[in-house]
Amino acid sequence: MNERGSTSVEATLLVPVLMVLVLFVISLGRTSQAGIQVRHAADQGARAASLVAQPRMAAAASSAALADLRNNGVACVSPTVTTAVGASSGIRQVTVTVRCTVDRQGLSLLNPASRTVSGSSTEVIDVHRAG
Amino acid sequence: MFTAPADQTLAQVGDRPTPDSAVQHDDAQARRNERRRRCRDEGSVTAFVLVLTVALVLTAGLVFDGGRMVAGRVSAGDVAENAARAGAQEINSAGAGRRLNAPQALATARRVLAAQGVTGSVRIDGQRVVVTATVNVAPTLLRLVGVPTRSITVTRSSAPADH
Repeated sequence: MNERGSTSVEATLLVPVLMVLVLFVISLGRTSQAGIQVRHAADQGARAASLVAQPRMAAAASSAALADLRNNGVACVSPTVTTAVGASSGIRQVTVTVRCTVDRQGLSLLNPASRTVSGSSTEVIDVHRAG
Repeated sequence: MFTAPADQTLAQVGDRPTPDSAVQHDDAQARRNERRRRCRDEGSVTAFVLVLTVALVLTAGLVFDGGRMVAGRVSAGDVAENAARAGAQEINSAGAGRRLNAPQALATARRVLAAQGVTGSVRIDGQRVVVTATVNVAPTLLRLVGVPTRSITVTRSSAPADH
């Protein structure tokens, strides 16, 4: 008789712990999702930059990467794009880096610190290009 | 897990007066049953939580390491594409039509692989430069359950535009 409900008490006490664990899994998933999204945006930006003349590379990379994030980047907020041109063993290439903050919506119980992910992509600059 | 010690609870159960030996006997039997029942039941939630926690940690591992493997595949494909495209730009424009300069194409594609720090192989298939890039991804959480480092191989090809 005295013991009745002890299982419920245990369950009640442990449910918050389990919920935090579930939120942890969700936040991990969202971080990897954001990582893949910035990487994909950097790919798009770098490919766009590799097709134009050097003075217009930064603008082309930025607009392509931001457009890609607008279409796919649901886990990514306030992105920034940087562009760098370099040469490695005789190959001219452009590197685009995209950075953004991982969306924390719905994870306030976990109270995660705001986490930034970045992805970069390097493309070889086309030799025979139109513009 | 959160139950009171057995002696204390039983003392409270047996607090009421016991008029004769028959009732006393029944009471002792009840106590024994009670103890047996408690022993069977104790910790069942704990075991449940333990199993659930292990399952959740494994899920976290799948989510995290799975994501890393997808990212590895994407980046291997990207480098292979880059190398193939750079190789396919080595053309002889003299004469009619664009023909691939095969030795130059091989060398350039290999240089791109080296420049981007990825191992792989390059071959020429007609007018097409075919690049295979390999990226190794070491699992983090899933290593705890014995998932080994995975080597991801992606093949991409490129050819001079024909117009």
